[in-house]
Amino acid sequence: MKKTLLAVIAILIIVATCFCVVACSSSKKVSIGVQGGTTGEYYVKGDPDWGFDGFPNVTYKPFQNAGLAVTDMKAGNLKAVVIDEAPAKALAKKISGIKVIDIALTEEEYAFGVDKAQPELKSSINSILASDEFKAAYDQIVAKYFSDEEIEGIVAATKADADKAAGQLVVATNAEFAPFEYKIGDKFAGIDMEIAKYIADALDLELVVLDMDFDAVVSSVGKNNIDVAMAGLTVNEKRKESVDFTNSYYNAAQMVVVLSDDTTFDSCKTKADVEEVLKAL
Amino acid sequence: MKYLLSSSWDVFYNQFITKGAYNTVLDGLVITLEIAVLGLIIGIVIGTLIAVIKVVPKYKTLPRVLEVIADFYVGLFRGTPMVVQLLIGYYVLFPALGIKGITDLNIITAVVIFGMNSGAYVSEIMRSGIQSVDVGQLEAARALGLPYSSSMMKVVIPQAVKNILPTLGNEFISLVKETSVVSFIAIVDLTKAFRQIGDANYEYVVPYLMLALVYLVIVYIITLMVKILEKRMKKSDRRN
Repeated sequence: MKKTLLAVIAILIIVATCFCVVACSSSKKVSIGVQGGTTGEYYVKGDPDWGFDGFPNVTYKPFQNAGLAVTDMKAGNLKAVVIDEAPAKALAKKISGIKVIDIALTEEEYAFGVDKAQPELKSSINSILASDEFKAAYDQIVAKYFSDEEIEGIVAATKADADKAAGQLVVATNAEFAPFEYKIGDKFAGIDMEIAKYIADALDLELVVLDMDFDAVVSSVGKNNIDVAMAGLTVNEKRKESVDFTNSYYNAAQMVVVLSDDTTFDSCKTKADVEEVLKAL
Repeated sequence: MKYLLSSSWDVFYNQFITKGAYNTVLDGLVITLEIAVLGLIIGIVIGTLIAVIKVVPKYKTLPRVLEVIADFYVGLFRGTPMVVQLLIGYYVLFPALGIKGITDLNIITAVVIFGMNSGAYVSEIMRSGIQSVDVGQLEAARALGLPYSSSMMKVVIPQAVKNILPTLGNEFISLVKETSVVSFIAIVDLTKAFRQIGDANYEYVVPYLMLALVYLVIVYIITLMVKILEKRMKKSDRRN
């Protein structure tokens, strides 16, 4: 009996050691953090559908949001974080000890993803986005979120109601992406949320915002009465299979965030320089 | 439904085989098993220690102090959710202790937290096992002149382990399934790997069904292994 037990324990320990050796022998010593499901993840991991080659020499770590990735970098476990420009700058403003390398690694456009079954909703959003009143309001909104002004939440959390589906504009978002969508107290705030409110007011609908994982935002559209995804969503062929994109409203880019005292990227002038450094890590 | 499955299957096949997502899945499988197996080993060690602390006679001060600590430990780990322990461990505790810069620190954190969590549960399983062994066994061993520690190690615990084997298998199974939350600390485990396949095309039907199937197969294999082990240990048993 005792021998069997010893044998089992021995086997378990051998298996465990094998796992350890496999895990530790990995040649990828440098880690880069990203937010799961964002363009940054595909950029670092490499994805032919998105047209990214990726960086096979680094381990990418997908976090729930960019803030957690930066926290982990400050704890000393990541070399860098790759995230959209606006959230990167918003983070650098709030968290001390980090800096954004101001070189665009990608060229992308944000748009809203509308339910494919509602082409009329898409065209009415497009006509609102094209109107002069909206453009004026939009410039004010963007200026407000990129200034140091104190910002208040604008959209209270309400529930989607199947009985009132016709009178509601149900928006799917991931409120972990300042300055585009995040929570202040119990209310949603951010550029996308201000636009959502503008559109809902213009269409005379009640605005309902549903907060979920970023991974789930696109696939949720068209289900459970969700009309549109507004989550700093980059226009992409793959996503076009699931949603209809409106005209874009914001030009975005991925950027590298590092610790303030990290000089690795200081000499970089262009995108090619940054990618060279990333490949040599 | 049939159409849904077949179209989703093509998308899944393309992503899984042609685009090479199976590599991520295999890595994820190794990580899931690694965390569960190492977690269980740490759990059994911690659990046995705590169980012994709890059944030791309390004539002196030291065992009493140890029991208070053990009670606190068990209460702490059973009273908070796994995800919360992972988040605190990775984002609060390890940075505060100055542990950093190690490759795959998140996996190590997961192993340690899963081990400590499992230790709390195994301690209760082990204690019930020890108490299920007739007190006469311990008395006989002591009467023959064995010290308390050896009579525990050589007489009581081996019999206890035989009694609790099915429950221990249960613990291992739930440990394997609980590892599905480790993506909270940026680990790409089995669940996250299949989620990524789904995210790549926003097509979730087949990936999630396959994910469930993989867990089912793992758990089935564990069940078989536990059964074989049980049979082997029953050889000298009159109970059949």
